[in-house]
Amino acid sequence: MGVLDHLPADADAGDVVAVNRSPRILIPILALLAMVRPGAADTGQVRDVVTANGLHIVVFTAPTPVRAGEVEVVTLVTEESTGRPVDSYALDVEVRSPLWNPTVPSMLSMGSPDPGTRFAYKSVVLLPDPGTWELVVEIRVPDRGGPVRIPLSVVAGAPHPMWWQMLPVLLGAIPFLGLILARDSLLKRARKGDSAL
Amino acid sequence: MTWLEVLRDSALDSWNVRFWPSCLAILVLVLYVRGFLAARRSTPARFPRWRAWSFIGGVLVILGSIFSPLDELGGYLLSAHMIQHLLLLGVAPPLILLGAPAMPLLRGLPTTIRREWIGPFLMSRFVQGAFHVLVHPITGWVALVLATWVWHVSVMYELALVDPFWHEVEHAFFLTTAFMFWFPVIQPWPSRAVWPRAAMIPYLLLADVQNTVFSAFFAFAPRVIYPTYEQVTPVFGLDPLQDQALAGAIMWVPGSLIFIAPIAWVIRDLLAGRGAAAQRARYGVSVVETEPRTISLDQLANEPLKTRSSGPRRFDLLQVPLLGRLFASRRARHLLRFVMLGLAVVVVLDGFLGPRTASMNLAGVLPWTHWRGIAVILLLIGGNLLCMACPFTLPRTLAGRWLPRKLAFPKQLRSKWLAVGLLVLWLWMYEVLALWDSPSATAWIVVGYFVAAFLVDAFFRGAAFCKYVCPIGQFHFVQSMASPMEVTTRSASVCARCTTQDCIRGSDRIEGCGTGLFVPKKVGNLDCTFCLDCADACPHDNIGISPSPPARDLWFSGVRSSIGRITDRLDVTALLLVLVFGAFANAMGMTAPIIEWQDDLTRRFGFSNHAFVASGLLLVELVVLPIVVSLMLWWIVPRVLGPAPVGSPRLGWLGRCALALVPLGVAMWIVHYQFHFLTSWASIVPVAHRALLDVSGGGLAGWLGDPAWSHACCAPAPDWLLTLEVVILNVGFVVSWAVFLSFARAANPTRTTTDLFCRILPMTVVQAGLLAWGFWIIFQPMQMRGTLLL
Repeated sequence: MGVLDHLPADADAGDVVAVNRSPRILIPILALLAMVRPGAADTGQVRDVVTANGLHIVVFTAPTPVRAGEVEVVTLVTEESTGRPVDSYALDVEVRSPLWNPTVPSMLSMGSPDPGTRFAYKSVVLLPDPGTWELVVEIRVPDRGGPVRIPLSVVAGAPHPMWWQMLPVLLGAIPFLGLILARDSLLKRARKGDSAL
Repeated sequence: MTWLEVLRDSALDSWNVRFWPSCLAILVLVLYVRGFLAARRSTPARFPRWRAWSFIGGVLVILGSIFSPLDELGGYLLSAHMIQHLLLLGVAPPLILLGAPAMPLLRGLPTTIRREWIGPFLMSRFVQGAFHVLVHPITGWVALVLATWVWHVSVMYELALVDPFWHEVEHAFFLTTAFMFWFPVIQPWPSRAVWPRAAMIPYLLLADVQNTVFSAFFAFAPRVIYPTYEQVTPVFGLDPLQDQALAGAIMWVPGSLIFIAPIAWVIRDLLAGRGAAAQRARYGVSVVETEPRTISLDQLANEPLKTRSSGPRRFDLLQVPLLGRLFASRRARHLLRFVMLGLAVVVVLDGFLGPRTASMNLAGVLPWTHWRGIAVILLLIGGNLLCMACPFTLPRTLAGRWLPRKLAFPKQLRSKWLAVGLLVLWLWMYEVLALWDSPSATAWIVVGYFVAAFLVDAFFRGAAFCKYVCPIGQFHFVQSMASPMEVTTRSASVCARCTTQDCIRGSDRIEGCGTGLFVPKKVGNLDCTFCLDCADACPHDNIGISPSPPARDLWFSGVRSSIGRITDRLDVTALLLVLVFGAFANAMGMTAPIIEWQDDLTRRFGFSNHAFVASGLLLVELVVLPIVVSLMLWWIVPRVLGPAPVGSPRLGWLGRCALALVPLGVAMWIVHYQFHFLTSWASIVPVAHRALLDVSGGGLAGWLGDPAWSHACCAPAPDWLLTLEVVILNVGFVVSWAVFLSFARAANPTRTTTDLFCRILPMTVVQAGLLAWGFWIIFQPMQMRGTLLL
């Protein structure tokens, strides 16, 4: 068995010369990094897909999962027939609580082109509390008929806790470090006892 | 609705099954049952079946008392709360102790953990002394009485009522003190009684007396003791005072029975003439006659390890019914690869032909949400099983049939440097080109992978693509280093007698190991694709997939077959560091503050897109930071810990540091990928639905309806997810720290623990820094946004 380590079939085990340790081969790979071009247009997670007025509309939300607080509603509108993106339209998002009363004004947020993207529109809405919220996304494209209204039911989770609220869990490793040190000390003492014998 | 129906519906709705207690209970039950079955095989008379049922019943009583409507009702009714306390104080602990849990729980643990980690503590005189004090009858009696009275003082009780945390602390106190109280009564094997058996009669009687006084206080109190119950809505028509009297009666009558019934049991033992020998008698006379009456727990914990040479290992995945046969069959493994090939084809087709929105496309969902989420868990649990099912090995199989494949892989490329470069490229492309958000780019990558695998394996012998090129393979190799499962020999003596070594040389019908690993000398999972060619080639059927001691792959610094000494190889060290730092960089790129920061910088500098900013950030995270940290460790660690015990004295330490950081990297990959999987696993439903509609040309629309897109994203994150992420990162940190401490101890066998602790502080700072980085990431909102190529 010992002989096998030096056979070619056993590759480079014990044969350090066979391993090329030079990182020079990284150079062509690094050169590749300069050759790729990114595109642009942010998306999120798909919330609904609607086809109306000859338009294909995808509604996204971010962050994922949605929590109480600021939520981005992003829309991407394309021509149904050609798939070409529509780059000029109006986006409004209305937020209603589940106990919405028609006499009480609801929150309305206007969308605008997302500066970090090419074709998507973004609207930031505030969901003040965890629970189910009704959102109505309205899209108006000039010369393409009436507005398209897309109702969404969004379940917002509780907001992220602050880190100090989870301090006992965050520091949970420390007792285990203590146990590992205690074990090391016990083993060392046991070895010392063995060698004394 | 009748009141009975209302009660039934309320009861069903009020079950509150919590994640962490459930996990703990499942773990305890699995360990107990595993250990009980092993113990029962060796000493059946000592472990009759009723003991297992008793233990399981005790655990279920605890779960029932804290998950059931009792817990909710306890906030409205003192009587319900007292029933809950009775279950925790007087029912669950004795049932669990009757299960003689010490031995089964210890034997349920993996041998190495029992021997190497639990054993030293059980052997410690301090621990033994403390345990004897805790379960001494006087301590147990006083502790139970104190816990009962103190937690029913108005201030303490109200605190537990209004704050769930203190309610759980109260339950923990009750359970602990109850175990201490019932221990001398039950005297579970292998403990020995401190007092004569007859002393348990006054012990229990006195407990009953204090219980009677306690109960009478509630039953006859002229006013409501706990103000909260005056403010809540009455339930079942009971006013607070009536409820309080009922609570007293419950504690009085059933509570007394809990103390009195065991007295009858003790008297029966004494009358039967068993007296002091009753404990023995309960565990079966035949056993006692042939075996030691008791054994100490440290003896149990230090039961000799089964080594390779001592015979077959206890667990072998290839010998598990059905699953083992599946993995052991060459045809079944090929079938697995063809199934994965089918999925790859689906991903490619949808990637090219489907919608360009990633979360609506199979190429945007299957590889990036599902495959990655399942992969990190499988790699940890089962070793590198994913490479076993890799469809990219099929080109090699085809090439092997049609092409000569005689060339050796170029010597200049025979290292991990190429793979390191490709991994960096991969991580860069993922971030800058937003691969997960571009179905067509994903499809191109899959196609490119097949082409590259075919080209490499068409000309070069062995599994050169897997070993030297494949970035996914390198990811699998390194992640599976944290797994206990590895391909290994079943018996070392069989290998010692073997003269043909077909596992590496191959035979007429099957090639030997493609990555050049000689199984008897192989250690760990690095470079092992779990293809099981070695097992097929072995004429002695002596290769299986078995567990090795936890983290051995990480702390082993000796020579490994086909790899040499990992700690002396700069290329492997670089690979490990890229994957560790890459884990954090990859996860951080998805967080909202980083995306906003990149957008902000892009606008400020007037760039047309965020590629430059993202590339700069990645350069720092994947190249600059690892190099700075490496140089710092390379300079400091040998100075404080001395030269490495084996191998290169300085480079050896850098390799050891990289190995020790692997668990932190693994933890971060798991946290990241599990987050996406657990919050978006249902996305496959509408996406597959959409794909079916597209394939049918809309023909199935009438039957299938519209895809339910709300499934793609919209489940709120489970409450326990953030805690789980913190726990996983903490586990990674603790294992990482333990691995490095073991390296430090090996190099400094005579130093005191305190001294050693101070000397590993530089590395601890690096580990704690990575942990803090991980914590910061998981507390940020995940944007899941990227670049859509339009």
